[in-house]
Amino acid sequence: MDTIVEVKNLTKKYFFTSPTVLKNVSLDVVEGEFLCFVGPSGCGKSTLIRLISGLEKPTSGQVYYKKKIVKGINPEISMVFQSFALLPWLTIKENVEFGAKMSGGIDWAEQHWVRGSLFTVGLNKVSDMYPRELSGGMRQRVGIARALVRDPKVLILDEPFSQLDLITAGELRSEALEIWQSRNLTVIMVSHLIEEAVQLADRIVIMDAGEIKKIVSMNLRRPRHKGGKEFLEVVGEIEKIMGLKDEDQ
Amino acid sequence: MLDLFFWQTVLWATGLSVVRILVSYLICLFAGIVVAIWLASSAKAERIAVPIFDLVQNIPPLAFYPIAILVFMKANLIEGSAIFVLVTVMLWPLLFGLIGAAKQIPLDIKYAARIFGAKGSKYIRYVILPAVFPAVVTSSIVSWGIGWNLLVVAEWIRYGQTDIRLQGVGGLLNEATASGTVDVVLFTTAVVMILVVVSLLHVFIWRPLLRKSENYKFD
Repeated sequence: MDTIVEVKNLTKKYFFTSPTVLKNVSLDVVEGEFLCFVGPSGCGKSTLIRLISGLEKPTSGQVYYKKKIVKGINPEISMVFQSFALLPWLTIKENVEFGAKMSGGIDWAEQHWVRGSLFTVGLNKVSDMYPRELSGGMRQRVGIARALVRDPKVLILDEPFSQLDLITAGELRSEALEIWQSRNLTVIMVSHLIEEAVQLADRIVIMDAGEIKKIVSMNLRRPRHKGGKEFLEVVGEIEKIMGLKDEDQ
Repeated sequence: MLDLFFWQTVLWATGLSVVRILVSYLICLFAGIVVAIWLASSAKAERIAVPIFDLVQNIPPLAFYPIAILVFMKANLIEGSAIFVLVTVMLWPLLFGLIGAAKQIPLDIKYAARIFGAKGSKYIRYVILPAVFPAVVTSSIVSWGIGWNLLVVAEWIRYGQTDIRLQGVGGLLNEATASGTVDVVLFTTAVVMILVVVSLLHVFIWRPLLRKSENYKFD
């Protein structure tokens, strides 16, 4: 498979006097893979995905999408946010339609996509409700539907399940995997849970203090069973790399 | 005194005062929205402008009044001086309320709007304006209240040796005490008219808008 996103020598500093958030980071994202970033808070994971998405510009270095320099927002890259980021004054359907509306109006084909996206996440019956009337899990489903309606090639998930309860987060992880597999997407996810990353990812990028510490390839077959021997071994290995566990444990 | 002419005068005066405050309010609302949008899109502009606004709003607005009267009277725009006084006091709650609301738009909302293609006028129309709507409502209530408070001053213009009382509720209140004794009937009627208008505004405008604005609030 080809490389779809390349990050070359990326450095990011917000102000002249502030610490460097990303230090000379380089990485290739393979088309169709599920890539997950893990690391402690403040290590630069979210900054990196904002640079990949075009939301921010690097201080130095480049991000390439399909071999072209990323200069701003790209309609082929979509995003799901930790806080759901739904507009409270719009109905569910209007939130999902938002991207299509911003690009100039919504025709019948896009209406079909909107209905399809809502159906995919099981929200077709609540499309006239408002976000405040929904649970956290349902709101994040709306966030996912909104991200999918423009048929993106890359889906970025910024800690999408961190504000949900365990059961709902587990359900949505399974749904995210189904969507990834059925739509042949490239998914780039940020997580602060190692188990979540091991369950979902093809590769895990371990970051610390603005740098990539190590990239671990998952050789586990899918579906992956949390609590299984191999699963726990991989979790343990990553915890050691991150310094959460002693080497001899 | 309580004949048809009296009531016609009172109602007409009340109507003129409402129009005066409304015109002043619309000027303040437009200015507040423009400035809030400008500052929301430029951190540098916000860092420079907000301290300046803070300083200016502490200058007593009536300090400008004599100069304003001179300018507007020379231009034969007698209403201009009343509108000027009202604008200089009604502007600040709207301005700071809207600036604060625009700053409080959550970062993820701004990112999401950009990711899904909202930029330029679409970003303003579909994101910023709805986001500041609750602040528009609450700040407008405060702004109108301040306008009513200053009506007596705004509708009484002293130009040289001449006293000009504009037709309005403020003018009626001035007239009720002009002779040195209080015309109780006129004074009471003027106050009651203000209370009636304020109550009607509350029931038919502010309360419905406050209810509607709940749909626009972020969690």
